[in-house]
Amino acid sequence: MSDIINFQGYLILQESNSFTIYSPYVVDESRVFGHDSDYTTIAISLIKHLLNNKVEVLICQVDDRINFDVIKIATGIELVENGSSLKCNNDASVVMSSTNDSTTGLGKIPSKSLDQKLYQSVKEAWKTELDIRNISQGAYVSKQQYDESLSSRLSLTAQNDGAIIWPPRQMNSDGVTLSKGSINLSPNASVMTWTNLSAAGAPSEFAIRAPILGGLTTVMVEFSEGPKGVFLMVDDEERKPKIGDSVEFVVRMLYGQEGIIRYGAKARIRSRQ
Amino acid sequence: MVDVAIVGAGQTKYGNHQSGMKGMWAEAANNAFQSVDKDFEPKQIDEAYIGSVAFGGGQLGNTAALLTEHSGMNGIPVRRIENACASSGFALRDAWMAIKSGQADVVVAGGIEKMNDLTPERKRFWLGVSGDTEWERLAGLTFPGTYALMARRYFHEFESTHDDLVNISVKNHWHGLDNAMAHIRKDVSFDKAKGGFMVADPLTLYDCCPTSDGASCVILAADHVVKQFTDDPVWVKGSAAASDYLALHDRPSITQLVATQNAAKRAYKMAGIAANKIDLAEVHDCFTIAELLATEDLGFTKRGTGGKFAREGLGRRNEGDVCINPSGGLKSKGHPLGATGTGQTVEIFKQLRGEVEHSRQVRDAENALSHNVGGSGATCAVHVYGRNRNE
Repeated sequence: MSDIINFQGYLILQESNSFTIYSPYVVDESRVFGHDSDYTTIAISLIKHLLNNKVEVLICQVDDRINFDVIKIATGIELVENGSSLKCNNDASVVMSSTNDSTTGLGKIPSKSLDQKLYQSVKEAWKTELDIRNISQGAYVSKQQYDESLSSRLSLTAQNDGAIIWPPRQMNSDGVTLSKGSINLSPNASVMTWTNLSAAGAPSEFAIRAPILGGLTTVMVEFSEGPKGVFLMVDDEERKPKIGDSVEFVVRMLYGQEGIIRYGAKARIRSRQ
Repeated sequence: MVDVAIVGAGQTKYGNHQSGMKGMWAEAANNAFQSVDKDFEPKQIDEAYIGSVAFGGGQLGNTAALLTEHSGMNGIPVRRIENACASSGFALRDAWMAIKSGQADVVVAGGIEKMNDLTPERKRFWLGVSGDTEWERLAGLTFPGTYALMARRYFHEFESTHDDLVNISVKNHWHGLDNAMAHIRKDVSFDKAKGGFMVADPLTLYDCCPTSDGASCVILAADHVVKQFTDDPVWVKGSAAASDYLALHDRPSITQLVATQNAAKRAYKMAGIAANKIDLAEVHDCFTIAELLATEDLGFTKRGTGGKFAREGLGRRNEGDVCINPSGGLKSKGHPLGATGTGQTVEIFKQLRGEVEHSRQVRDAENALSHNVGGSGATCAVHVYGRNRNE
């Protein structure tokens, strides 16, 4: 068996004809997703890992439980006529394979225990949040508005107008209309400041899950290219940020509204000074 | 050009109000009418500008028409001004400009917000609606979080700790203790404020203003009609406003509010006085860190020394050169979003005329300043007032 690779909070196993990505978490001996992960987020990480390692990614078939539109924007890949399939397993894993061979047994993959009560509460919260009747009033980001900046949100696409601009804007400070995004920011940045917002102060989009998770942690970061941004930290890792920490960005579920999961980049601590 | 004076000002008590919007506005307007020294009729008003975020959506459209209809001002040109928490600071500026332009002689500027009649679930939807919705809100931020990011960065860049913010909280609660209009009237010890429930690390409950119901109303008049109403006006000597990037991540620095700096610079210049001539200032302390930054941005202390200013108690009533937030500020007096800006002016009108409770009167005050910020600093209105008219 090949080595297990730890990537973006998930575990990747390479075998002769396949790559499988697993959630690291286990509840009652069953492998489960972390609090803000699903088949789409782990599939994105698998594809990114392969692309980072110069592996040609040719996918012709995608399991219904994966949102390929999100994958396309997050990774830049398109469906092809002949290639591998992305298949979801019931053990919180996704396999990319060109054959129908079975994958490695669960026992061989390392795992971390997740508190069962917490896991169930978060799972129920997502169900409530994704109820079509969960509508907003007051502040609201429409599906159209969300889609408009999705490549900046998922793959950190920035505008290059002499200076690098992110998030995207229509005009620069001189009133000149800017072109659409043209470069991707490096997926690493440095923490400038951070906060942990208690459940009581969380925006309504997070109001159901924030009390269960003990609040929300947000970082403001500076990318090496210059732009700054604010990001949620991933929900399933408890390390508190510090100013100066280096963070990487991974795609996770942000929130659900009107039956739609909104995905976006979240920060994970990569290294500490 | 015509000079502008305030000839009347009134407000409701801030807090959990029994009345709805119409009742609160009528009360504030009536208090303002009653405060005019000589005969005054609402029919003498030419225009009205009313600030409101319309929190909760109770009357989102045509708010001003509804309110003026219920306060003896029906028929006059009215409009709602919305610039988040700076709504009525901008309403005041627009009223001032209407008189300056020569198109009006008597103008009302006011503000209102009804916040505490909503269920907690509904209120949550309306918190933070004035921040950057697309990026900051979806990164989990409402204003406590936004200001917490600023506070932590400030502590990192300058010699300051959370204890400096605790001092601001303690001071403002002390200032508001005897203010009959204040929402939270209690003396708060340093230890109690320091040990408050964590809202947005590093900001505790005692760093955050309350959500309040309230309304405030100010009557402005052109110099040539002032004497019809009073022999003791408060002159608006400088009025300025500015804006900045909405989202923190677009600003070069998050430890200063450029909109405040720019508005203050222009207001001081117009008034012909410097920061060291201000005797009292009502500043926008939605969070204690906001007051700390304001003391620097308004020029009361140098950049990076706001913590020391707070630590040494230089903004305490009748102790330093300038009294910061004699009303108790947003922290103690309360923060009914749209009403806050003109509520600051009500305090200044009464302080400069010696009409507040004796125990909290700022002694020998000649000049004052109000500073009203929208959100985390995207908008800001600064006004300078004086007992004496510009000559």
